[in-house]
This record gives sequence, structure tokens and C-alpha cells, in this order.
Amino acid sequence: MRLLFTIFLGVVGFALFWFFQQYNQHYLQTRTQLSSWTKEMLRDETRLDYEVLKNSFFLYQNYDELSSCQKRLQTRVQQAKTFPIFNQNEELRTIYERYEKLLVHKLEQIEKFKQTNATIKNSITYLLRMLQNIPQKYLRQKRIATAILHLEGNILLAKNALDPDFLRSIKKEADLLNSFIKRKDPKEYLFRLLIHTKLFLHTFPSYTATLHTITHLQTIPTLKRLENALEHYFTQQDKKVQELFYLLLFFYFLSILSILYLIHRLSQENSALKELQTKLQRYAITDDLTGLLNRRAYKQDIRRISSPFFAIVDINRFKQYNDFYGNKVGDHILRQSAKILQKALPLHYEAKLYRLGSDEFGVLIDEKTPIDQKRFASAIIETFNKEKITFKNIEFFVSVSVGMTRKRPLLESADMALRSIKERYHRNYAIFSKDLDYFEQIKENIKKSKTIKEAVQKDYILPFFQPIIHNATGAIAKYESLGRIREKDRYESVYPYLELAKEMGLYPQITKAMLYKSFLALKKLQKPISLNISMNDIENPDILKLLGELLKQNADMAPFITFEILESETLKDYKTVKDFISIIKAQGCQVAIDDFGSGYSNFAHIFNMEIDYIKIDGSLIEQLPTSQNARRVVRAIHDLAKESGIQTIAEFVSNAAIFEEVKKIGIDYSQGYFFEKPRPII
Amino acid sequence: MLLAQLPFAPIPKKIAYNKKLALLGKSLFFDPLLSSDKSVSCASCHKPSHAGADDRALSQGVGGQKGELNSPTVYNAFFQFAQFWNGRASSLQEQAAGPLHNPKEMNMSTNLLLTRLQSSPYYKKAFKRLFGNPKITFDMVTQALAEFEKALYTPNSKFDRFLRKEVSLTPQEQRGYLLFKKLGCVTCHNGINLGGNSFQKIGTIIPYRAPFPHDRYEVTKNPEDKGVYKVPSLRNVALSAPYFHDGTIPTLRQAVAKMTYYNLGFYLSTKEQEAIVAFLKTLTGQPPAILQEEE
Repeated sequence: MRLLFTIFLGVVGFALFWFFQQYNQHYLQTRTQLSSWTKEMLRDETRLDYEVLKNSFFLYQNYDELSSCQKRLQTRVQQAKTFPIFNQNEELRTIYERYEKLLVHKLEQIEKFKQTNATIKNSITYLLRMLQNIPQKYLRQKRIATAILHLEGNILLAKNALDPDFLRSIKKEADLLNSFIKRKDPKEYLFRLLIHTKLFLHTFPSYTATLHTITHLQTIPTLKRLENALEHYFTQQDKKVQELFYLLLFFYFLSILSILYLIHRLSQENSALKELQTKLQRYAITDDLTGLLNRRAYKQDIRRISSPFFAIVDINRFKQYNDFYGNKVGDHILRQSAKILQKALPLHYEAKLYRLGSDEFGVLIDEKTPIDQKRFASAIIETFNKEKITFKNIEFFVSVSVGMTRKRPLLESADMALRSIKERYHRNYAIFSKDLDYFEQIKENIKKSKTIKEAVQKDYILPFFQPIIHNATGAIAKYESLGRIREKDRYESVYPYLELAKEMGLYPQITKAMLYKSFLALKKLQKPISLNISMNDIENPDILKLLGELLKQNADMAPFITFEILESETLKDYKTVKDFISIIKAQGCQVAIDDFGSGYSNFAHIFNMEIDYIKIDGSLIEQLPTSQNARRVVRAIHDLAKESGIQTIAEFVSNAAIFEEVKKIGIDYSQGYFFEKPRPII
Repeated sequence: MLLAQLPFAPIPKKIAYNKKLALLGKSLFFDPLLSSDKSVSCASCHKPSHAGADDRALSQGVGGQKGELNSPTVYNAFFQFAQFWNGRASSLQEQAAGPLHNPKEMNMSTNLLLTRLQSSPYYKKAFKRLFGNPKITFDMVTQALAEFEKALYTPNSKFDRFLRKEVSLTPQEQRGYLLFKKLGCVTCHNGINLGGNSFQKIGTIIPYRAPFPHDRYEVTKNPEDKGVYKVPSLRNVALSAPYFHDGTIPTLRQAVAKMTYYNLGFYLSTKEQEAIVAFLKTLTGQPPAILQEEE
């Protein structure tokens, strides 16, 4: 609207300017034209009068100049008819028309003057000539001679004085002379004299009248009146032009003001737009729930930081809150956590806080002065411990884990650090270091997955056997079957590949190969063996079927077989494990719990199962010579087992010192490098 | 200024005109295409062989129709204050339209004239070259004719050279010249053209008994203007017989005698007549240069 108005003003202004330009030009043209017109008319009129007088005065004359003056005036007065000004202004037109009428009349009179003037001149010339040739007979008659001289003298007087008063005496003398004429003979002197006199008498009044009219016609005063009227008119017009100019100036300033106003409004609108833009940008990078920055902001910010220190703060077991109390509480906890996190971070870090995932917060700091990661993490963890989050009088104890990193990609490496915590549990913060390098692991995993895939395809999976020693006798009581991969000439443990194999779906094939080949070895050796079996295996019908068949085929071998189940596995599905144990016990097999002491299993549960052996976790065994605590724990396990009629096995017995302690406690069996490494064939 | 006081002035040795336009006018002037039956051209009555006038008493138009007046000369017509015997045209261009349209003269309609010229490759090209416009208009035609007539001036007559003091007149011519002034001829025959600058009545003193066709009265409707005609120029008068408006006077001497009698009121002696005729013969100038010019 405003723009339209300005454009309108501009157009009006331009149109006015154009109009003014045109008007002014036209006005000046008209003015110049009229001014030169009146001047030329005046000049020619004056010239005309002069020529008329000259021609009447001189005996010899030349009408050329007079005629051309007449012609010029004639043309020019007609030309003025086309001047628009005389159509526009009533007064001017009236004066002009009056002048034109007068002039036309004057010019007619001049034409008449030229005729009568010629006649008068001819007669005068002739009469003068006759004066030179008065016949002798008249010279002798005094009355006639006197009359001739009087006549001629009066004619000359009349002509030169332009006075018709002499005509009466001329007529008197002419009458007198006429009485002397005896016959009307054109050759007769008096007769000729009187013809010319009569012509003179006849022409002279109209001649003088014409001259009088010509010299007294009010053409020049009328022309001057016209000139004055024009002058007056143009003075009025000047005022109009000036007014128009002021109007133009007014519009000009109005346009400029309007443009200035428009510019002002534009800049205002611009800043409003900029504000909106900033707001939108802020929304785009803000997390709705917590008001922290979001993941998009994080992605933008990390690019700008040269020495980043980054931490992921993860709410422990957040999923439980959500599951137990619903999303509303979950959201509340997240909002409060964001506040606590802000409180926990000293201002000098100039930390930026992000919500990265459902229960993950990010802290990004440009590390200008080195940060003590331990103090950094502890501050956060302790603040969370101190601050309580309540919702409708329910108090929640929210704890967090902190994964930190300085290595790009930040999010991934911090996540690695975080995962390392979850795996360990004894700390709730960690910083990313090279051993946590997930990327190396990825590379490694790729390599490993190739290896295991090839091993399964080419049947390179085979059991190695490690003897288990009866402590009391030192005799080999049985062998533990341990999975190995043949890789060219080397063999390596299959255990590092198992997780990968599970993910790749190769695990059942590995188990099948192990079971099959272990049974073959058993038949050949005819010695007791110990087989590792996992929860995955127990839950896999194919494996169970194979196991059933193998046991069926080697029913007599059943008592020679011990199944080892990891302590941690019993935690997952107690009932399934218990059922499995019952079944294989019924077949005559024995059962051992592997790595006992590494987990947090309920002893009552374990001892409720019909198990034969407990294999105490290697990490405890290794510490026996050095740790009183380990010794107490191992002794307690052993005592408990003894009381339940369960035999014990120590693994990782790698030297004599350990072995001594093992024996001292009274553990029944040992295995480890102190005795023998696992080997292909027994 | 001194010359301006004199009743006469010489024809300029050279006057400026548009030569190309005048030469186109010349072609038109001599072209019978300009008359309806293609029988007459301007030059049929304004004969270059006869000082731009007609040797016949009354001029003849298309179909042999006789006019009522003796064609006045086109030579030096440019110096006249008005054209035609009665001065009804103020310019040569205006005059040129007259005979073209006059049914007794060339009897041409504007359309027919333009159609004829347009279909002539020569005129088409010539007009286009001059006016830059392929469409010929009537105004262009009369402009060209007028420009040619402007060029029909006859300079360097003996009288002009005498006025310029280059030669002297013979005693008889000198006598004639003085008589011309003294008797009053000069009152009407004055100026550069010795005439052509006023209207006068034929027979001011002794009534001239003859019909006055197309007189000044026809223009002004003023009864005083009956028998009034434009005073003819005396330039080249010796070459342009017959004389008077109706071409009834075959010789110059007769014309001088008659004019003196009717307009001055007296008889001239034979000697005086001869002297005046001798003077009038000094008014014969050089033929117009343009007649020799080729395009």
C-alpha cells in the first residue's frame, strides 16, 4: 500500500515534471513568438507609414517598399489568427480582432492611396509642365494669365499643404478659365489644363481623406494595446508557471519524504524479520522438552570448536522410570535433570548443553584451559546425588554416568567411553582412550567376522583339551573341551569370536561342531570331558535335538560328560536352566557352574539346582596369593559348596603359589597353565 | 539609401534559389502533361521566345479555348507584389495553381495531375530525390513551379547598368528616360519592375472604352475598382507585344501613345514617342540563365 502510494507519488511527480517542462517550453515559445510578432508588426507599421508619407511627398516615387510592407503586414496579421492564445483569451482576441480589422482597412486605404497618389502626381507633373508652356496668346491676356497662375499656384499649395481649403478658389479659377474655352479640342491648352484641374479637384478630396485615414487609423495604438495586454497576460502566466513550479517542488519533496518513510519502514521490517529469523533459528536448535540445545545445534557447534571437550551424561536406568511411572514422570525427570546439569557445571567452562537422545545429555566445552576430567565428572555425578527430583511427593534418586572424550567423532567416542562404564559398573564415569577405540574394534570386528565365517564354512572349528587335575592325587581327572579356530598353522581361542558369531547367526553351527567333535574325542579317549554350554544353546531346539541324539548314540558315555554353564547365564532364565539341568542329569551327565564368583547370583538359587561342581572364577583364583579378601571369598564359596555336597574346581592356576593356596583351601580340582595348556589331542 | 530614394532599382545580378527544385519546376513548366488533354504547357502561353509572355492577344487553353486576357509575362514576376492581372494571388506558388485548375486554361484536377506525375518514373524519382517522400503532393508541384519562376529574372539590362553607372544612355534614350519621369509615367511604373507594385485604373483621365474582364473589382467588389488592374511591369516590354490587358495594342509605340492619352491626358509628339520607346528598349535584360541550364 505504502509502496503503491510512493509509486503513485512518483508517477504524479514525473507527470507534473513532464507537464511543467512541456508547459514551460510551450509558454516560452508562445511568449517569444508573440513578442517578436508584435515587434515586427510595429516595425512594419512604422515603415509603412513612413513609406506612405514619402510617396506622397516625393514627386518621384517607388511603391516597391510600400508594397512589400503591405504584403508582410498582410501575411503576418493572418498568421496571428493561428496563435492559440487568441482563442484562449477573450480580451486578447477582442483586441487582436480589432487590430486586424483596422489593419485590413488601412491596407485597403493604402491601395487606394497608391491609385489616387498616382493620379494626383500625374496631374501635378502635367500641370507643372503646362506652366512651362503657357501659349503666348494667353500670356498677353492678363486675366487669363493671372487665372492660370493662380490656378496652378493654388493646386501646388493644396497639394503641398494637403489642404482641401484651396479647392474652392481652384474651382473658381477653373470656372473662369472654362468661360474662355471656345471649342472642346483636346489639343487646346486651356481644355487640357481644365481636364487635369477637374481630375485634381475630383481626386484630391479622396486623396487627402485616404491619407488622413491612413495616418489616423488607430492601428499602432491598438497594436500597442495588444502588446500591453499580452504583457499583462504573460505576467499573469508567469505567476501560474511559478505556482506550477511550487506545486512541482511540493510533490518532489512529498515523494522524497515518502521514500524516506518507506526506507525507514523497510529497515524496521527488516529488523523485525531478523528478530523472527533469530527466533526461528533458536527454535530450530532448541530441545522442546528441556530447553537445552538439540542435536542439530550440537552438529553445528562441534564444527566450530577447535579443541573440544565433550561429555555424554546418561541417566542410569531411565527406561525403568518411564516404564514404571509413565512418560509424564519421565519427561519431568528429564527437565529436572537438565536443570541439575546446568547447576553442576561451573560457569567458567562456558559449557554448552544439549539433549542428544531420550536420556542422554551432551556437554560441549571449548577446552582453553585443561579440564580435570575426574573432577568434572565427579561434580556432575555428585550434584545429581545431592539434588533430589520429586514428582507428586514421590522422590526419585536419579544417578548418571558420564562418558567423556576429546577425540572426534565426539559423540561416538564419548558413547564408547559410556559403554565401557556400563560394562564395568565399578565406576560411573570414563574418558575415551585408545583401548576403548570403537573404531579399531570395528576394524577388528570386520576382520574377525571374516575369520569366523571362513572357519565355520571350512569346518576349522575344533576342540582343544585342557586337563583338570585332581588336587589330592595330582592325577588328571578329566579334560575341558575348549573351542579353537584353525587359522593356517595357528590355533586361537574361539571365545573372542562368540559374541560376533551370535550376531552373525553362526553360533549354533559352532556349538554343533564343538559338540560333534567333542563326542568323537570322547569315544576315542574314553576319558571324562567337560563341555561348555550356553543359554543360547539351551534355548535352541536344533542344538537340543543334536545333543539328545549324541547322548542317545553314546548312552554309555553319559557319566563321562560334565556340562559347564556360566554363572551369569543362570541369572537370565532360571527355570529354563533348571529344566535343562534336570534333563541331562536324568541322562546321567554331570553339571558344573562356570566362573562362579564373577556375578551377583543368588547362592540359594544356584545351590537349589542339582549341580555337581562349582568352578570358581579365575579372577578370584589369581588373587589368592596376594589378596586376603579373595582368599576369604574363595574359602566361603568352597565351604558353602562342601556343605551342599558340591565339588570345587579352581581355574587359572598358573603357578605353584596359586596351587599352594588352592590346596590349602581344600579345593578339589585345579586347571591352568601351571599344569598344562589346552592342546589338540589328549 | 540614395538608390532607395530613386523611383527605380536594378534587378540584382544574381538571386538565390534552389537550383534542383527550379530545374524540376522547369521540367513541369514545359510539360504538356500538366494540361488535361496534354495539349498545352505553362510555356504555351508564357513563351520563353516571347519574354515569358504570349504573342497572341488572348491566350489559348485546352481544346483551343480562348481566354479573356493577354498572358502577362512570367519573367521577373517574382518581384511583383501580387500575381494575375487583378492581383488575386499573393505569391508565385499560389498563382501556379490558377491556370492548372482553370477549365479554360489547363483544366487539371489535383488528382489527375498527381496521378500523371506519380506514374511518370522521371517525376517520381525527381520528387523523391528532392522531398525525400515518394508521394508527390500538389504543394510540391506548385513549389517547384514557383521556384523555377523565381529563377526567371532578366538582369543586366542597359537601364540597370545605367542605374549602376556602368554605361550611359544614348541622347534619345536619355530624353525618353526624362520624359518618362517628367510626363508622369513613373507615378505608376516605378520600382524594380517599373510596375507590378500597385493597382491602377486604365483611363484615369480619358475613359478607356473596353470590357474589363477579371479586373480588381472581381476581387474587392468595390465599384471604384472597376477597370482597375495591376500595373504591368515594363521590363522586357519591347519583346512582349501585344499590349494592354486585352492584347489589343500590337506595337509598343501605340501602347505608349494610348497609355499617355488615356492615363495622362495628352498626346505625345512622334519624337517624344520615339524617345520613350527607345528608353523602354533599354529595359530588355539578359534572358534568364536557367533556360540554358540542364539538369
